[in-house]
Amino acid sequence: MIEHPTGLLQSLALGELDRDEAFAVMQHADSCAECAGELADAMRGVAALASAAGAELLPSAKTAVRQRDSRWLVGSLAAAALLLGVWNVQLETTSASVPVDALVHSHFAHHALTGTGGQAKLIQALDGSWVYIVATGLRPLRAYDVLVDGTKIGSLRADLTGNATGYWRRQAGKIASAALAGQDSMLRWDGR
Amino acid sequence: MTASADAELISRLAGDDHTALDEAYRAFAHRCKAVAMRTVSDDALAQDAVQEAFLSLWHHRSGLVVRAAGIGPWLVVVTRNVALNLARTSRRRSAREAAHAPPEPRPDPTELAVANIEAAALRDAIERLPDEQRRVIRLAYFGGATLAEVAARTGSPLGTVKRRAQLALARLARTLGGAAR
Ligand SMILES: [Zn+2]
Repeated sequence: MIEHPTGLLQSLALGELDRDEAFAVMQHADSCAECAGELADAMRGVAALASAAGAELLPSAKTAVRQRDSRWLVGSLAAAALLLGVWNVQLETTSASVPVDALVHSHFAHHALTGTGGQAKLIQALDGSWVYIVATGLRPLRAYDVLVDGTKIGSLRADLTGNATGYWRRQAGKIASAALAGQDSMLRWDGR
Repeated sequence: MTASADAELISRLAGDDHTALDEAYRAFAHRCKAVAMRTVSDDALAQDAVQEAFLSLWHHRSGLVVRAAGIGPWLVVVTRNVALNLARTSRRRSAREAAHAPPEPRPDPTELAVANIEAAALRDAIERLPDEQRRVIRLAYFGGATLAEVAARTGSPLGTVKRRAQLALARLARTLGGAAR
């Protein structure tokens, strides 16, 4: 057996290696339990990041080309926003705190609310114990009622750009319908 | 996919069962495509990356790594690696050609909403890492630096940086694992 490519396992998982290098490291790890275990741990971490991250930068790896075109700039701004916690600031201004543990374990479902006057999504715990609404294209600064199964559970107000988010806890139970109702708009999901 | 369903699929793959590859495709191709799109922002390139990852899965079907990592994580990482390699090649080409960039497709805000939720969970998991591990992930994963570049920038030995990367990734795998399966 050749030497363990220990130093290259993380590089492989992070996508730094070119095809030939990656192939050689993988060939070794495929028949070496020690390296396979370490590589698998790193791969699961990168997969978790890749599955959860909305945007990322292109690792420069061994390429000399580092100038960024607009496409990658968009990615870097999104990554920067993520790292600076901008999203969280937005959540806090609407007093929404996301139940991170539930989200991390993907115990949620989401439905589009359709209709007139904007777009919205309802994200709910599978057991119905919390709902989270995120909306865009609303009338700036206008207030909207949030209805679940025909009952008003709260309200939210669009910001200057017509976006709004809100989070509410409720008694667990199946959610059959939801709506976001404004003065002259109605967005709803009716359970299908 | 549950761990036992995953193990069953891996056994069938190792037994040269082609239908297991079809099943894996149905279960994971969508997520792989999403990961590839984030990396290359080009539908055709992303599809190429996904195809290559599944071919690669077939090639490595009886290896220890698929078994240890699980099919989903394995495919996501290999898809991303192929996509990164494709992106490096196409960026070198487009830098030469300096072609007009096509207009970016407008992302669906409702898709963005879910992505943002996942991003919130991700940010939280990253914030919980010890400082030095978080720094490595920020620079290497989000900042696009190689581990050697991270070592140079942080003034830490390369071996230390790799160890921190390993610890951080293993920890993220545990905290975010449910989302990645
Ligand atoms: Zn080894």
